[in-house]
Amino acid sequence: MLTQEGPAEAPRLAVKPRKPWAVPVLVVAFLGVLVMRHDFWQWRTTEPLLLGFLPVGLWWQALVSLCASVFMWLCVTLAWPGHLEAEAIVAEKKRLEDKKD
Amino acid sequence: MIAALVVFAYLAVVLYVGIFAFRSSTKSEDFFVANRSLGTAVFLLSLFGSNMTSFAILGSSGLAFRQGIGVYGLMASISGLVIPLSIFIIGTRIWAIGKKFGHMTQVQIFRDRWECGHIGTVIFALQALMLVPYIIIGVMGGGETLAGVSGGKVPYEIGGAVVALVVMSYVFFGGMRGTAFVNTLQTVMFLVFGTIAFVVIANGMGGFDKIVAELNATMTSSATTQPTTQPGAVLTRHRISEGYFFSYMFIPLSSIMFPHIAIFCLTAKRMASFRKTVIFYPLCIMAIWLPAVYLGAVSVSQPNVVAQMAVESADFKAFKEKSPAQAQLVEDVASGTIASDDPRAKALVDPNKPLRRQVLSVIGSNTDGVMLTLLSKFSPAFLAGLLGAAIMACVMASDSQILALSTMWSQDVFRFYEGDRRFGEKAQIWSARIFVVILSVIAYVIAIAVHQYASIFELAIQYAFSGFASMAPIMLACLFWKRSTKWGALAATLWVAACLVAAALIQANTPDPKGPPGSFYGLEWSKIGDYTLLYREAVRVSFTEYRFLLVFPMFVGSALCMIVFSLLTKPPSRATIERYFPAK
Repeated sequence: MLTQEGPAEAPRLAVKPRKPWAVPVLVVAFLGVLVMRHDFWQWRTTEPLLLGFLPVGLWWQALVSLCASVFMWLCVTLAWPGHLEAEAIVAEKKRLEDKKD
Repeated sequence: MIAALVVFAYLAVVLYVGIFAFRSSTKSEDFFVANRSLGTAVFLLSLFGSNMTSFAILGSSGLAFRQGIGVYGLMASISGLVIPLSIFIIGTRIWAIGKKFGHMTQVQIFRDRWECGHIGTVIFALQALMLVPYIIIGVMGGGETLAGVSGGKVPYEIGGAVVALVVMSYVFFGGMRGTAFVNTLQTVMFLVFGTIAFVVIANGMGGFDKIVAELNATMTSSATTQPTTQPGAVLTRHRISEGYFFSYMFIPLSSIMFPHIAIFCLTAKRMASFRKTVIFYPLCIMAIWLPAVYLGAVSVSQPNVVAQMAVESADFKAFKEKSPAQAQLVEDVASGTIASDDPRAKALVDPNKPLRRQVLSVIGSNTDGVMLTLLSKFSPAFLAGLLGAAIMACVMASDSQILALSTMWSQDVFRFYEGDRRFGEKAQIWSARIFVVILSVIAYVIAIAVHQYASIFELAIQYAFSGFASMAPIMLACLFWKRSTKWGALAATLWVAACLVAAALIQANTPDPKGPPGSFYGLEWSKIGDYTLLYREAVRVSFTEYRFLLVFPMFVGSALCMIVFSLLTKPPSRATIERYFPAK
């Protein structure tokens, strides 16, 4: 169903250990996107136009949005906090059982 | 009227979808957080929908009309980076804590994490005060949108009442599940019809490349001495200061601190729902903001749009009395009696003609109607109705805020002060439902009574963004810093509240700067030696000569309060710290 997933009894709890270089890579990537967003060097120009009608100040920032999406994919791939889910589901099960009792 | 009928049909569908989600559950976890069971698609679309208020379409295009395409970089691209990152770092932790301990609000987490009671009530009070203006402005936006798409046939009062009633009904019956269903529908509608609108309006305008070439010509003309005032400046960022642009990066931190967003993070069944949400979030923002900002900016070149906005402006009557012949010309262009390509109409957008300056002065900052004007001028009535419904979808984002406030009331006040123990869980849900009704009625009454003072609420919202963003250090300390204490949280909260009150008082007691748009002056009393600390601009108070937004010093001050007062006071018990930071 679109809004509700199946029963939570069989969560996939395999937690991958995070690579030691993951956080430095993500920090550099974050700073890279942040610097891109502050494109003060093309503040007062419209050129080059993309497709003949999008000024640089707009398409560059759209590019920043695309890079932000790629950055978030990197975060999810390299630093997914899977341990939180594993702990939370076990604790929730216990909490709900205690509530029943 | 066809457009208004389409919008009414849409509202009926929304009502059906919201109430269809109704389940006669007596469990508070179901009503408030949909049993923590939302799937990935609904989680992404409704989380995004909750974050997209009327500002995303009406405000952004209106601001782009005045300040140009820089509005996208200012607000959208940085939101596409900071909001998903904060959901990834903070939202996933909030979700896990909610699952573990059964919490449903941020204040419940703070109370449990820092072993406090009334300090949580102080945080609740500040959050509630900052959230209420959104609900009021949502009702106002609904009334205005219905009045706009019906050409004034549906009065503002009736439109506001219809919107308030529809939102109240599906929040009342459907709770979080109903709100999530409706938000999903609204976001899909918005994305689909927004794209269609872009194409239709582009065709109606005669193609963007021609418009851009004309606007660009005003910037490259040898006679151009003041590029900021030229129409073509909307294609650059001449009208946005770099310091303001830089400091705006703190504002999206407000997102995760908004109660409705934090509470929404508790509704996902699996943490995996966050994966696609954070990856697609920047793309969803781009899909809505890019066309809205672009259309708002290039519409300065359209005589019929500019004329229509001037005619609808509150200052037009005075202009008509002062310059009747010119006002008649504006009215003729607005009504289509004089075509947009007529040389007389072109005077409205010609930088060398004084009429353009006069008309822009009449319009002033009342530019939020630009998108509705574009729709009425360049799209057929049926499509305008569908797009009006899509705009209505954004305006009605106040549903999540009403639900969040009722959840906070029920959990942070009713339950905390033992209402559920005395009256039972069913009474707790009913207390929230009654709260929804009372809140909707109050919001409607205020929206009708003080419609002419809408700018006050807009101002309140402007500062509320800074307020919520400056509370982010409290949440970060709660989740990541073992040594943080309730006194640090209280100090940071009071600092934020004091800054908000001070900013409002300064703004209310100092005159607007005189001169062209973008003018500002230093506040003499804020001088330290020769250095002026605060500046007054047309719509805000800014910090230092770089004109940073006040959120910058507020955020830094809040973080310092959190750190200093935490280090000076006793941390929570070892048992509590171990519950929140279990040994790996």
